[in-house]
Amino acid sequence: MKNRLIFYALITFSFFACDYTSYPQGKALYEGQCSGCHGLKAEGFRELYPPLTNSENFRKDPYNTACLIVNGLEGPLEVNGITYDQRMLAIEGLTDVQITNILNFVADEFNPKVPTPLNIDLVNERLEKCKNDPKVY
Amino acid sequence: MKDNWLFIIIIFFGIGCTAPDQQDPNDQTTIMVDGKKQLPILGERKIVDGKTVFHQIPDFSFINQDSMVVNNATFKDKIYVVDFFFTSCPTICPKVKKQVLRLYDEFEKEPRLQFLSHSIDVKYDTQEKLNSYGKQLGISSDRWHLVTGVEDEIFEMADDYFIAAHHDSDAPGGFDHSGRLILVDQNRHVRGFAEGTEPESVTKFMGTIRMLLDEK
Repeated sequence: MKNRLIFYALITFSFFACDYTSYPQGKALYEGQCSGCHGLKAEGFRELYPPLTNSENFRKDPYNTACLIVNGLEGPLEVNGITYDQRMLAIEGLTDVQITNILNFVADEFNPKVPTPLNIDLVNERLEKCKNDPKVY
Repeated sequence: MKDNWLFIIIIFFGIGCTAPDQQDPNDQTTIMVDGKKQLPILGERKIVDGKTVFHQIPDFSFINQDSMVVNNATFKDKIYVVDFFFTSCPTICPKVKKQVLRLYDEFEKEPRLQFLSHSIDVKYDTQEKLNSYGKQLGISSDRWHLVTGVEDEIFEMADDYFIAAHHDSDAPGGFDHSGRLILVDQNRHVRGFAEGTEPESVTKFMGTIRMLLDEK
């Protein structure tokens, strides 16, 4: 009887599990700060805003995204063979922990080839480098 | 502030019938005319020589993404949907643009419906910027104009369309503006609106547009 209850509980639970993420803060921040342009599923929008899903750029260097968030970006950028050229404004007021959580959510949810967790020390190291020279990514 | 409003309301009642009538720009409930449902004409109205004069979009002249002049004559015998945005807007604009794009696709075969998006960031959004934005969005200036012009004139037009738009250094990107879409008829009257950030509101708006297209 008890086993049966656990079985049903697990089944019920699994329905909610679809929405599960290991990075709830990253998810909330992504949805609030990034999804307007990049989409809730990080699918991008036409040729205006690049996708973050299965992005070659993100896979090659996920920590670079920390600099893009903090400094914004202007000028052409090629992602998965398409050149995008809209200005992205810097997102202000995020802590290194929050940025790391966003990166981990983007990696975990949209870029299965990127091993998680991404490391906060490496995020800080990268931010230190691009802080004074936004063009160095 | 509240007291001020009370004062205005009292004055309003005081002058009674001489006060100009007003169709609340936030109320687009349909009205019955000759037994047929019709969209109201929004905004202030006055009685001049016994005739009702409705709020009308004034003359304007802007430049679109293909360097062509866009003015009232551009929309002669047409109806059009208006919004205000800027290309690097990180908050509501992408959401609104996705919704306008839905309308653009939905009414693909209806040349009488046009779209007019004003950039409120005249410094950054040059004609070239709007051109690349239009291309990357995948739209044509045959039906959808992305315009720039004199800053003050653009902000003044926002007032005429009952849309809030102004500089705000605290807002992301430096501008505070509403994501409202406005529907204008062939007589330059505002006939309806939608919240461009809300897909359901825009779905309803499709019905509003059809109603206006069916109007003779």
